Amino acid sequence: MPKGDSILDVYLYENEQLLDNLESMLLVCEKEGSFSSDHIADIFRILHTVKGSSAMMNFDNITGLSHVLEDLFGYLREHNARAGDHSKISDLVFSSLDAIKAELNKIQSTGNPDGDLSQLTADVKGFYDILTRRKDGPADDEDTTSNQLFINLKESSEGQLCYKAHVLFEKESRMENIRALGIVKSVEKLCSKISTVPRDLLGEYSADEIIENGFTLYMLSDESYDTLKNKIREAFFIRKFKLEQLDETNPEAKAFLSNRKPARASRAAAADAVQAGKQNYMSVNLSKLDSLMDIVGEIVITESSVTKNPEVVKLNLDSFDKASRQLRKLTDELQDIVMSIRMVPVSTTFHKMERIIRDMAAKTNKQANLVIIGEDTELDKNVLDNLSDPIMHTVRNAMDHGLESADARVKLGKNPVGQITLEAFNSGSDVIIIISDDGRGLDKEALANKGIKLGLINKPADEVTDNEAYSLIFAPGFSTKEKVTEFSGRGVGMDVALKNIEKLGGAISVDSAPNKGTTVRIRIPLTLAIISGMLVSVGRHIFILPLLSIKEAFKANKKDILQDPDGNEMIHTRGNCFPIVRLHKIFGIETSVTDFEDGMLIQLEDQHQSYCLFVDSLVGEQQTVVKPLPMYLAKILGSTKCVSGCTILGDGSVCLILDIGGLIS
Amino acid sequence: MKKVLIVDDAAFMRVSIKNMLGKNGYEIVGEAENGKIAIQKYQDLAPDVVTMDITMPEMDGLTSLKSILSIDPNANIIMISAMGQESMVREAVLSGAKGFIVKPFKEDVIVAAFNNLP
Repeated sequence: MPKGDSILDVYLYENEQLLDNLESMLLVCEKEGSFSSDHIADIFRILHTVKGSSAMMNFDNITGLSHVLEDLFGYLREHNARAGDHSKISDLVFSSLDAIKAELNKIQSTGNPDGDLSQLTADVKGFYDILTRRKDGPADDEDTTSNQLFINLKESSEGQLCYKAHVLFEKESRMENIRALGIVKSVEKLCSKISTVPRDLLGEYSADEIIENGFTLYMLSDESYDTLKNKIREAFFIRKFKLEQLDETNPEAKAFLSNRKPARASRAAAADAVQAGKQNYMSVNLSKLDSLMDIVGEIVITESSVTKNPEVVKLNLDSFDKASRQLRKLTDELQDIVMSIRMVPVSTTFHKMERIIRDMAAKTNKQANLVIIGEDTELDKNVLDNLSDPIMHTVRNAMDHGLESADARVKLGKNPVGQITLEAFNSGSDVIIIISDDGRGLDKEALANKGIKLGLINKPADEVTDNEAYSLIFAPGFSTKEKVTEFSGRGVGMDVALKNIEKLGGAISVDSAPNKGTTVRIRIPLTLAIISGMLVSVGRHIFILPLLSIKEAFKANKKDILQDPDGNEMIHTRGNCFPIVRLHKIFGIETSVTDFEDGMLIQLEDQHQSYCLFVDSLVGEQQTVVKPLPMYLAKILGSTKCVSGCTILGDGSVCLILDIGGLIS
Repeated sequence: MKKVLIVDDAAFMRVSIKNMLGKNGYEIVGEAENGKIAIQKYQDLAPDVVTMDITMPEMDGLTSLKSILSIDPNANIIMISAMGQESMVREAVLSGAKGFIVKPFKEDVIVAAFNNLP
């Protein structure tokens, strides 16, 4: 079938979504230890859709596999089966799922799904056969008693004519017997008596017979020849059709008229209402969203440069103020929407890990539970895509190196089932992702020794700090594992994770305690984002602080200022002591405000620390589009890590956005 | 030009049918992704023909078919079925569907079926 690419895109996109849904459903089922009828119905429907679409695209291998799976779940649905061996079923479906996904990938890259799925298909089919045989002998429980023959008795048959119709259907029109039934149904009301050959339209071989010999219909009716003819013609896919009027003396007519077997069809086929989660997706090219985002960024900047234009502000125009307030409101909304379009919850990525843990648990003979916290936390789609590999590597490491075997855990007095926790939350303008396990923890000594052996560390093992030792796991080619397993131990992985995360402007750190477990912490800034910023001035310069990290801003009282022996300044406020950072010193800016009482202290907080930043004054709050630092600025500022990006102010000047964590380190 | 309402939960099927019919002089006035929406859209759009998938979430094609026929006994509804759904197709036909097409189908098949409608 000739098709544009767009159809293929829809096919791929939709089926990927469906398969992902299917996967998460299976995981839920597996956790519950049984398939609920709702889930069976959902899974059945998904497989049905996949089969249908794939058949339309002529992807025969996918069609075949999804068809037998559909049969299997169709059977489970019919028989309300908490049937048999659910783990066997999930295994089959999981492996089929992977195979189909692999084919979809091939379609995407080469357009040709040439994988051989016949073994899997046969496996599923074999399982299905066993299941159906075990449950109840003849699987086909269609009620063959009804619908045998349609005779509609209106009693008075006087003045009625006898007709014979012979119909041949188009080849490949399929379900010919039901097509014949449709014709019977369409003329039923016009006739007082009807008989068909084959008599039992829904019998096992009737379809074959109709394909071969066609379908004959005897009718007793007071309608005219033409009315009947037109009525029958309405049916689809008729290749040949002949209608003749029979004389009452005709032997066929006699046989027809003398036959008086009343049997009306009972049509109580249970229609199953399938209820399921809804999906309303539309796929949009990501590059379009990128440019939309850029434009909205420009609009936000232009909006403030128009409404805050100093010359206009001087004029004090009432109606202009009103209009600009409205404009501000609308640009805010526009910005929120654009942001939200690009944001996706981390839940899909997190839930993928369930699958990895499941597979690895089976192969490494360990047991583990995945605990997910904050799966609603949203991240830019691009960022999340790039994060999924690092998260996966970390989870694999946790499974393979971190967790002990069940026996070893029992000996240590731990729950034999290990726990891996995935957590995500927002912190200021960053998103933090924490992956932790409750396994044996990193072996600092082994790490340090290996590090020294490889020449990555140049000091005696007992002088190596925890941090230095732990950071070694991010070194390329580093592994303390003696033997390489299927999952990890090759020493690649964590260094790739580190690179991926650094590319996103994020940071990764690791912490560990012996026998308590290991925690990997990933910090990802929302660099693409538009943030609410606080403008602060130092000398003639203006800087921006992310509003979310500001706890409070206040004027300092001289008596609260302390100094430690090294000359570090601190402030005592509300019973807490915070170090003070002078912004003008960091950037070497000349300013007249050097006395704490003249300027402002802003208490900033991020995940690790809290401190006060000393600035000249607050300028105001503003929406700012975070732009990456241009090359020449990055070169100068790159090493200091004080600046996370820059933005353009309303008057067109460039302004640096300060990095809260970087300023204090 | 005949107005068509396409009912199918798979966007892929909707696009395919839309393309096939659109090329052959039918006007697609609406799409619905389940039976419930189909009933609403049938009343809103008054299409000449409806293509109706059988297996759908929320409300399946059979239930939707029956509801639409109870609103408009003359509705032209064509079922889109897959292999293996004989019993459902049978019920649909007995309930008053004008015909049915079996997936996978080619363009000429669906067009032939449509051209056959009164």
